[in-house]
Amino acid sequence: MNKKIDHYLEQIKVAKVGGGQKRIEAQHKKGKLTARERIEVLLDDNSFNEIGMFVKGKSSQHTQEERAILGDGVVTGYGKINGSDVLIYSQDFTVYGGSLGEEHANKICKILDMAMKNRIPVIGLNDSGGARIQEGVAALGGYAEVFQRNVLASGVIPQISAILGPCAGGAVYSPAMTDFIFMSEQTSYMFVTGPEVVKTVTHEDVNTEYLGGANTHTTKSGVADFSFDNEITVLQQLRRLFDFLPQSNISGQKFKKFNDSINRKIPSLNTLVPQDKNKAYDIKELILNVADEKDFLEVQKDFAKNIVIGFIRLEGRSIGIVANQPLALAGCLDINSSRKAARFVRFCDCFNIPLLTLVDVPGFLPGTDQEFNGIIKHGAKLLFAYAEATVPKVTLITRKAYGGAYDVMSSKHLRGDINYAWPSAEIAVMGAEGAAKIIYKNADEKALKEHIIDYETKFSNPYIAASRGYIDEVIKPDITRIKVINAFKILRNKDLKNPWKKHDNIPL
Amino acid sequence: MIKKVLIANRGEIAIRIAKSCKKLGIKTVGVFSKDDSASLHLTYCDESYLLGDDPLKGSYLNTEKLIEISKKYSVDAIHPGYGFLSENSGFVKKLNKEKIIFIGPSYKAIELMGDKIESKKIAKKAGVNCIPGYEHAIKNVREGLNEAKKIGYPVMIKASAGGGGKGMRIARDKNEFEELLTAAKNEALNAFGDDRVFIEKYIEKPRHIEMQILADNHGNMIWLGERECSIQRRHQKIIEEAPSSFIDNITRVKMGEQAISLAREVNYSSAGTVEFVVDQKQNFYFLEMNTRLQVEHPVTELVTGIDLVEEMIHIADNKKLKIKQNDVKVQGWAFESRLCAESPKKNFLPSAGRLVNINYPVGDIRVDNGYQSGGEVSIYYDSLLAKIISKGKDRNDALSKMQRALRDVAVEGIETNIDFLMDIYKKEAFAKGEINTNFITETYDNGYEGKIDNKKEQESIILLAISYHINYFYSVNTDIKNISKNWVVSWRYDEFEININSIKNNFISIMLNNSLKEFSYQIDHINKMIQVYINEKKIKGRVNNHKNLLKVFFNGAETNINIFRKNTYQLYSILPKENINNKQKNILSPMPGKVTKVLVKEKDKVQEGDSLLILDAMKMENIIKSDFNGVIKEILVKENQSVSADEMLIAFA
Repeated sequence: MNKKIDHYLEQIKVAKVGGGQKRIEAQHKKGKLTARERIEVLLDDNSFNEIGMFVKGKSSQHTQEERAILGDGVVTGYGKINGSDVLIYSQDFTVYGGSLGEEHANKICKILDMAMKNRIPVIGLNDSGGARIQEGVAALGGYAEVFQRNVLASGVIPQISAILGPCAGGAVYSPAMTDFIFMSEQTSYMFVTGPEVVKTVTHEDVNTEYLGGANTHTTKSGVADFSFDNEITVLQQLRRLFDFLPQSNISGQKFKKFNDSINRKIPSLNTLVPQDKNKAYDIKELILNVADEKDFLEVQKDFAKNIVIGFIRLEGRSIGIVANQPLALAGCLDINSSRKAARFVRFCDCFNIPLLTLVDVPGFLPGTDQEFNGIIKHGAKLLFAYAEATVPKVTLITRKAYGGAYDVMSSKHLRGDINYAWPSAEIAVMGAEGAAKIIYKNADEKALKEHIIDYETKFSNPYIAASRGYIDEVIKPDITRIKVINAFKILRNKDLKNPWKKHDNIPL
Repeated sequence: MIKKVLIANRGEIAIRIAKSCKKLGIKTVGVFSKDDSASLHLTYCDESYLLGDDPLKGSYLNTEKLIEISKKYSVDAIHPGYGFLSENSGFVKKLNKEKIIFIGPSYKAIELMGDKIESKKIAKKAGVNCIPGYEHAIKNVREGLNEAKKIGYPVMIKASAGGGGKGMRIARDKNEFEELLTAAKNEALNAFGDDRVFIEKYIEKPRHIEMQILADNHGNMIWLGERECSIQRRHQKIIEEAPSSFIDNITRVKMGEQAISLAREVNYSSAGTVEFVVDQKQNFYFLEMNTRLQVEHPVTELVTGIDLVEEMIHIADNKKLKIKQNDVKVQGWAFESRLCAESPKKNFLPSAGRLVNINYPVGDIRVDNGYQSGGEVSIYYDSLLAKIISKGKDRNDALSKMQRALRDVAVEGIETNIDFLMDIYKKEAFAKGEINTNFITETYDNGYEGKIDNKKEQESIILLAISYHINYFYSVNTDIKNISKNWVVSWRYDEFEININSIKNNFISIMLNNSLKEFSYQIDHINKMIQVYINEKKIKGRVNNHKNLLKVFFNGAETNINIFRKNTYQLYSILPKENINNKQKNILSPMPGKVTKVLVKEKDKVQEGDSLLILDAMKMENIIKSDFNGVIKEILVKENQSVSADEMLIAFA
C-alpha cells in the first residue's frame, strides 16, 4: 500500500515540474512565471484543485524525441478568487513551448464544459507557441473545439484571458472571443501573422513588440483591455476585475461592503463644467465622485480615449459606466469609441450589470477617414447595443448632447429608464452657432450674432427636452450621487424582455 | 463713516477682510478677473463686480476700474489686502483725489518706506539699528582692517558689482582678513571685471523677526509684539509664530520702541510691520517696513486677541485707537502654516489647475482659506491656498495642535507642500526653536525627499498600509476565512512579514516582526485618509492606491509600498527586477514654460538627481533634474524653446 502511495507522490512530483527545472529557470529569466505559479498568484491560498494532471499527449503521434509529459502543456482546474468559484486553464510554456495538441485542447474544453454546466466564470492564462505541428490537423481541430465552446459560453459566463507570453496565429481567436484580455508588458504578444511573414508579404520591418505587444493592443488596436508592467500585477488586477463581475448571466451581482454614504453631497461638482463652453474637463472626476469609495476600474483606458468605460459600485453592487470624455477629441463619437463602448454595453447587458451613461457629446467626428472606414455601421453598433439592452439604464447629460449622438447615448427614446440633466446641459440638434448659420443663411455678421445668442437662450438648455419628457429630472450637480443611487434603487426589479428571435443582426 | 468697503483683492485675504467687515456691519464689494468669476471670495461679499478679462493689469491692478466701481456703487473705502495695490502710493494718491478712503497708511509713508535706500536713512535718523557696514569701496588692506574692526567680526566682504555669491567672503577675525580680501577682489575682477569690494557686518544664523504696530491719525501708536518668520523657502515665509522663541523681553521692548520711533518718523497710521534680522546675540537690525497688512498677521491676532483688520478700518475711519500700549498682552503661542500649491520635491515648483478636492482641519484651529473643493488654482496668482493657524497655551501646545491639524489636510488635483510642512514641524531643531532663515536649505541640503525618520514611523506606515489593504479583502470576501493569513509588506530596501491572527470588522490582530499588534482602523475614502488606533494612540495618514502600489503619506514621510500574499511575494522575488518596470525613461516638462539653459549633452551619463536643464516658468527658474540613472539618448528641445506641460524634453537610452 505504502509503495503505491509513494509511487503516486512520485508521479505528482514529476507532473509538477512540467518541462523540467532548466526550462523553468529559463522562463523565470524572461520575467515569466510557470503555469502553476501563475495559478498560485491568481487564486486564493490553497484553493486550487487540479484536474487532468496525468493527461498525456498522443505520444504515438510525436515525432519528437521527448516522452509525453504529464499534463500535456496545460494546467487546468478550479479554485476561488476572493471566495468565488472560478475555472481556470494555464498554458505551460516549459512543456513543448505551451503548444496546443489534441489532449491539451481537450483539457481546455473540459474546463469550458464544466464552466457552462455549472455557470462558473473561466479564466485562461495564455503562454503558447501555437499549434503543435507534430500533431498536425488534430491541433487545428483542437483550436476549433475551444473556439466553439468560447462562443457558446459567451454571454452565459464571464470569460477572461491573460496573455502572458506568445499568442499567435489561430491561438489568438480564443482570447479574442472572451470578454476581457489582459497583457503583460514586454513579455507577451498577440498577432495573426508574425514579423517574418509580414516581412515577406508586405516588406514591412517590424518587431514582435511593435507588431503585437501590450502597448500596441491597448493603444492602437484596442484588442487588449488591460496591460501592466509585470505578470504579478496582471494577475492581481485580474482578481480586481473579477470582483466586479457576476458569476454568470443568471447569478445575482456580487456585493462588496462599502464605507461611503448614500447621501453624500459633492459640492465640487457644481464647478466641474467650466463656464467657458469650449473648455474641456475630466469626466473621470465625476465618475470617481459618484462611485462608492471613489473606486473606478477603467477598461481600455488607453484606447479611444474620447469615451471612458469601466466599472464602479453603487451601494456595493457593480455598475457599468459609459462616459464621453471632453478631454479627448472633445468627447465626440468616432469609429473606435463607438466600437469600444458598444461591446462594453453588450457585456453589461449580458450579465445584468446596470448602465450609467454620462453624456457630453458634440456629435460624430466628421471626415473622409471616418466615412470611408464605415462610421455609419460602427456608430450604429453603439446605438444598437443601447437600444437592445434591457438592464436598468440611467443617463446623465452634463453638457452637450447634440444631434444623432444625443440619440445614441442612452437617450429616453432608446428605453433609457431615468434620464437626468445638469442645468448646464444643452440638448439640441447642434451648437447654437452652427444652427444659427443654417437657419439664417443670409444674415449679416451682426444679425447672426444676435441669432446665435437667441438660439442659445432658447435651445441650449435642458428644459425643452425636459418639457417633452425626454429628461425626467434636471438636477443640481452636487446631488448627483444621491440621485443616481435613487434611480438604480427604483429600477432594481426592472423586468423587460425583447421579442423572441433566433438572434439579432447587429451591424458588425 | 465707512459703510461700504471694496476689497481690492482675492483669495484668502479678501475673505478674511470680508469677515471682519461683516462683524462691523459694513457692506462689502468684491471684485474679480474673468478667470475668477466663480472664485470663493465672491461668495463672502455682498456685491461683486467684474474688473476685466486680463488676470492682472486689466483687473486686480486696474486702478481706473476700481475707482469707477467704487464711485458707481457708493463705496466709502477700499481695503487693498496684501500684494496687488497694497503698497502702491500712486493708487492712494488717486483715491485721495476721488475722496475714497484707502484703508492703509498715507501715500507718503508708503513712498518713503518703499524706497530701500531712503527707508534705511530714515531708520538711522529715527535711531533704529541698521546693519553696520562701510559703504565705500575698500582701497587697501589697512583701511579694510580698520573698518572691519569698527564694524566688529565676522564681516562679509562683498563685490560691488556682485551677485550669485561671486566675490563674497566671510572673515571671522583679523588674521584671515587680508587673505580673504585679496581672494574676494580677484574673484570679483574675474567675474565682473571690477575689483571693488565693500564690507558689512555678517550675521550668522540670522533670524527673521518682525514687529507689528498699529497707529491712528491722532498720533497714537502701539506695538503688538513680534512674529518670528525664520522658516523660509526661496526667500518666502512658510511658517510663522508669535511670539519668537528666541528674544527676551528686553530685546522685545527695544524692538517695539524702535518700530514705533520709525513709524513716528513717517507719521504712520494704520497697521504696519517693521522687519528685523536678528543675530545669535539678539542684536537686531532693520530690514524694511511693510506698510500693509501681512500674510502672517493672524498669529499676532491669536496671541493678542486684537482683530487687525477691524482696527485698520477704525483707523481709516479716523477713529482713535482704543487700545493703549499697556492693554496689549501677549498670551499663549500661535503658529501659522502656509499651505501652498507647489511641489517641495521639485524645488518648490508652483502647481496649478483644478482643485479636485481639499479637506481642511476643523475644531480648535483657525483656517483662513481662499479655495474650496472644485476651485481653480491659476498660474497668475499667489500659490497660497490657505493658512492654518494654531493657538496653544505654550509653544509645545501650539505645535502639537498644528501637527494634529495638518494631518487632516488632504488635497487632490494639484501638488501642495502639506507633507513638507509636517516634516519641518517634526524636526527636533524646530521643536527646540533652533531656527534661522537658512533652516530649510541647511536641513534639506538634498531638497525635501519625504524620508522616513525612524523605526517607529516605519511601523506606523506599515499599520496604515496593512489596514488599507486588508480592508479591501474584508469588504469583498463573504467569508473572512478566504483571506490569506500570511503577507509581506515590501518596499525598496526593506520587507516585513505579517501574520494575521484575526480580522473582525475593523479590528485586526497581527504579528509583525514577532510582536503582537492589535488595532482598529477607520478609512475616509473621499479624502483618502486612514486612521489606526493602537494602544490608545491614534496614527493618521493618507493612502493612495495605484495598481498594486500603495503610496502612504505619514507625518511628512512619503513612501511606496507593495503588499503581497506571502506565496506571491516569493514568486515576485524570483522574477528579475529589470523586467519589472523597464518602461521607457523620459524626462517630461512638468509645466508650460521656456527652456533657458540645457545643462547636458547627448550621450552624457547622468545620475538620478542631476540637473538637466533650466525651465523658466511662472516667472521662476526651475531646475529640471533627472529621475533616473542612465545615458542621455536624445535632447528634444533647444535653448529658448517654449514647451508645454508633459512635453518630452530628454529621452534616455
